[in-house]
Amino acid sequence: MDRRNFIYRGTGLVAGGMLLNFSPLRLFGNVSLPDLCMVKSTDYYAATLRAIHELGGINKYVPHGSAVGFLINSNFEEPGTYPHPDIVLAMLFLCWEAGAKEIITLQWVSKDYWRRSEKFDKHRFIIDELVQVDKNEHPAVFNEDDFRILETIDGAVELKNVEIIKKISEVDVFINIPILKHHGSTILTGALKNMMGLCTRKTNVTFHLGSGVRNDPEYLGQCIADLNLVRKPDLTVADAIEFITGNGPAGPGPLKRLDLVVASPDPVAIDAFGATCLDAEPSDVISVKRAYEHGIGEMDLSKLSIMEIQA
Amino acid sequence: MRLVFTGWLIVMLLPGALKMPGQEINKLLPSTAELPGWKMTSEPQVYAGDHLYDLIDGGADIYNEYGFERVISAHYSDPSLNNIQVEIYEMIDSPSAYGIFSITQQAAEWSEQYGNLSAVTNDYISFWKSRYYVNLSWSSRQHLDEPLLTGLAALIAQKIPEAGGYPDLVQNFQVLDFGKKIVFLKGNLALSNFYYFDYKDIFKLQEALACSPGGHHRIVIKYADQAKALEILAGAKQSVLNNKRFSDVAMAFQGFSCSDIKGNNILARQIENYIVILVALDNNFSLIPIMDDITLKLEKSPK
Repeated sequence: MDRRNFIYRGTGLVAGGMLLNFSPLRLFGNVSLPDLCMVKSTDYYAATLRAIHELGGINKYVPHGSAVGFLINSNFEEPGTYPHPDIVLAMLFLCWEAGAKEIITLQWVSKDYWRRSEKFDKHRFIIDELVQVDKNEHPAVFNEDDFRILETIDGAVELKNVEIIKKISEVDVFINIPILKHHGSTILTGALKNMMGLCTRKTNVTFHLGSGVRNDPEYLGQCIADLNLVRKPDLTVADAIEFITGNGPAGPGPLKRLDLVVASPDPVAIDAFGATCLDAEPSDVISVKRAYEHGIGEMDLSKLSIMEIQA
Repeated sequence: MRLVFTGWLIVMLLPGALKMPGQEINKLLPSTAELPGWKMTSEPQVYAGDHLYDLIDGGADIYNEYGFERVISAHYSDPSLNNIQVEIYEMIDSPSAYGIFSITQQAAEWSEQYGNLSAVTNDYISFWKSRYYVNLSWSSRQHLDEPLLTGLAALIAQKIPEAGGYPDLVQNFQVLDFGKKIVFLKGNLALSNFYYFDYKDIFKLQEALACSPGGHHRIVIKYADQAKALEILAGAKQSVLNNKRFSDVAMAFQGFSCSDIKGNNILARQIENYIVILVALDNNFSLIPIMDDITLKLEKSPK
């Protein structure tokens, strides 16, 4: 037994691994995969494993030996403002199990965040090995070692001179983990807006003030969509477990509980669904409309194959 | 040469203009002498103007809409590493401070425990007094010594000498029986954070009141004159007609009615120089008697 298998069995996480490696239905030929999978459960770890399983399994997205970048919207404290750490831990475990050679948190994640999960101790062996882009901590300031400047982005309408972390173009696999929650300026902050976590504070301020008009939601939404042209996540796993429906993004705010883990390779689809969680239309969220116009993904939920599972 | 010098001067002065030194706002922070056993973990930071975006990760826009001037942020800790974060926001005036308190704390219970009005939970205390909006919270949720948080809030409230006044609109509208929990709106962002119509400012909102006195939302938007209110209501109706979130848009007395995406009924009416909007939160809730009552009171209210 090698070290990987030894630790793996020792942690009691083997059942999750077996679930992912075995899919009886898929032994009998091609089964079309859903565009988006949502799993309703109060076991968020298991729900995450199940969602990825239904999307084809982690090996479809994370080749053995790959470097995987995680963008986690973890830098909040109020309930319903950050993704449940069990989702992230399940995804870390899956990547580790798939044989990722390196897992990188593209934005700094505090130790306190991990400790909010009861599963923290069992995953210490992965967390302790994470590579953190620790200079990308709010409010991130440009430095030449960690950031580069994209003077233009192909297809972008407004955004230019973007200070963005270098690692986003260096990792083999990019996994985005947002929470679908309220935002005072954009209605929803989810997968698309979480990408601002890759940029310096200076760049992010231009999203809000760059048009020369204060509180310009059109410009902000366009910039968010433009930023998503830099790199589309290979996988987005979103928290729709419990989230604020007002006073976002930092809260505290009124909470809505759906107990859903939502996963898709399409970040526009994730946010289109997120809009409905906040009783809005996908077209109400400008970044969703503009990202759809960029061809990043599908905003019409009726055109998507959506798998709903009650676990 | 003069051009280069002018450019250099602008570059040198601009950051200073945006991130001002603490001055009096520093004096509102309790000293460590007032908190035996506690210390500040770092120098308090003052963020002014657009530097607010350095402090708040998202969500700064609404503070700007209300008229943000500057904020001081400090962290206190005890020997057991319990941490409290204090943020004191200085707004352009007292009504603005009331406004940002009312919109950010609209979901919380309000009391008069600290300052003029406060919201108190297990994890944080927020209050408004004079032109200041104050937030105190436990970092990392290690709230082991709750009296310290309350003591700190009381100390800061004492250090703010004047109470400050409520917005005129709030004072003038006691006649409408809005209750004590009135949200003061100063722009479309605030309206969207109370009830979402459109990211476009279809009501051209500059000043409004909102509340939820049971079963429905009430929004009263003030305009310069009756003609303006009428004109804007007509434009808003057209926007609602073109918005997929709303259906069943129909003419109603001095305004229009419609249903929102949840099936809630909405009634909008121009009354003198105001637009009044009612949103039912229950399908069986009847809005017309409430609208008629508001109409009567507004028409009778002193001009």
